[in-house]
Amino acid sequence: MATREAGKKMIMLKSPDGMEFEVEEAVAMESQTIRKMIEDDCADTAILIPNINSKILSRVIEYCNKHVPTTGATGAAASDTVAPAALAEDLKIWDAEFIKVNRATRFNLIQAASYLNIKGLLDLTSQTTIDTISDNSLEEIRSFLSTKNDYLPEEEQTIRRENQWAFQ
Amino acid sequence: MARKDLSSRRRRLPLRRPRDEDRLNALSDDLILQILGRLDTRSALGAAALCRRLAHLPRELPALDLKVSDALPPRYRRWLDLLNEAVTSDALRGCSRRLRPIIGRYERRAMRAMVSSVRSLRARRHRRACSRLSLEFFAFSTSASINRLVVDAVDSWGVEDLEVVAKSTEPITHLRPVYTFPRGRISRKPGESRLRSLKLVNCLPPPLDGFTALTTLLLRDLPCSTPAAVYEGVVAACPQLRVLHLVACSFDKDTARWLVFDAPM
Repeated sequence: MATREAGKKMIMLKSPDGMEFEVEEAVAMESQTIRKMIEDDCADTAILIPNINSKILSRVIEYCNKHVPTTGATGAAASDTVAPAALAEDLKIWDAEFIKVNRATRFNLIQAASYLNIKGLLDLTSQTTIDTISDNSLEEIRSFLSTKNDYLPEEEQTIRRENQWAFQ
Repeated sequence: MARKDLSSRRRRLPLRRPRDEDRLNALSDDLILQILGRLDTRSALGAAALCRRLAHLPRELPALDLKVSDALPPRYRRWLDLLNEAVTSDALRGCSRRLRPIIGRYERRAMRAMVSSVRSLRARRHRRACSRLSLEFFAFSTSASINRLVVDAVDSWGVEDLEVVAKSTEPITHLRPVYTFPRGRISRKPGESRLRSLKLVNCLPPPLDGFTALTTLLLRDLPCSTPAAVYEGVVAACPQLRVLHLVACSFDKDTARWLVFDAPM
């Protein structure tokens, strides 16, 4: 894509529902999947991101925008004035606020993070899921994965007997 | 008429959230493991009972953490506190005789539950990779399953970090029996093991000859009946050892006055 500001290359990301997002290359490259596409020169025109709707994609871009390493003119100035530890703390608070979404959105974010290969986002989303599970036990996993029990009653009994330790 | 309305409404209800139905199916096995692999072992074993797709989850966990205390109810803790109080106070001394059987029942029940899980983990005979095993059980346990689990983990699963905690059932003031591995070993072919770090609490260390990868050893809560040669033997057997922690460990002062370690590294 055309360069807009000095040294800042822009990339166009398209969601399957037709929305287009123009993001800085550095931001898009937070995703290892997109990074590979760019490095392999497959990103001349807009990149279509399959399976991720515009609502989720915009959240993912929001995450990448926040997490892109602060280099360049403005970034260097920022890290001069703010200590790295404070920055990391700030990011943590931002993450905690970012992940306050319903189960379905969180689930979609996990899928998106996995497809786009964004390790930080995948860690954040799965860890949040696990944290909610330890509070609410197995029912939370069941509703998060919206899975139905497909065991035969006797099979379930066997597996529960084998692992009775987990149900005490 | 009214009845018909009711029944048709009832039939419609499950269709309210059709898109939620296949959330699990939308995930690849890798991704499921990446998310649920973060669960503690006990919850992961429980999750296996949710549906068939998750049945294999316990076998794929990269780390196993089996702690008998997870299976003990809070009520057990209260009984134990009472017993500890009873053995130190004259007024309550009579109670301790009645408390012990109650506490013992809780402990045996918890151990049985844990052993049954251990058995099912071992029963599924297929290659698994597991880098960390952490075990906590009661020192009175003589279950062969637990010892076989340790040997399996070291010999076939490629465990790098092993932690074995033998919980004592005696009140704090009493002499606590130390746990000994049956036949005194944790591996049939130590030369092939990938064991890097070994932590033993209230366990007599097995002979460590041949564990060439072992670099970290922690021994804790060994009683004063432990011969000095046990400590000296394990250190001498591990030429690669870099870190050695001895925490709350005593040794038999009748047979040796000093512990002497030769540390060539």
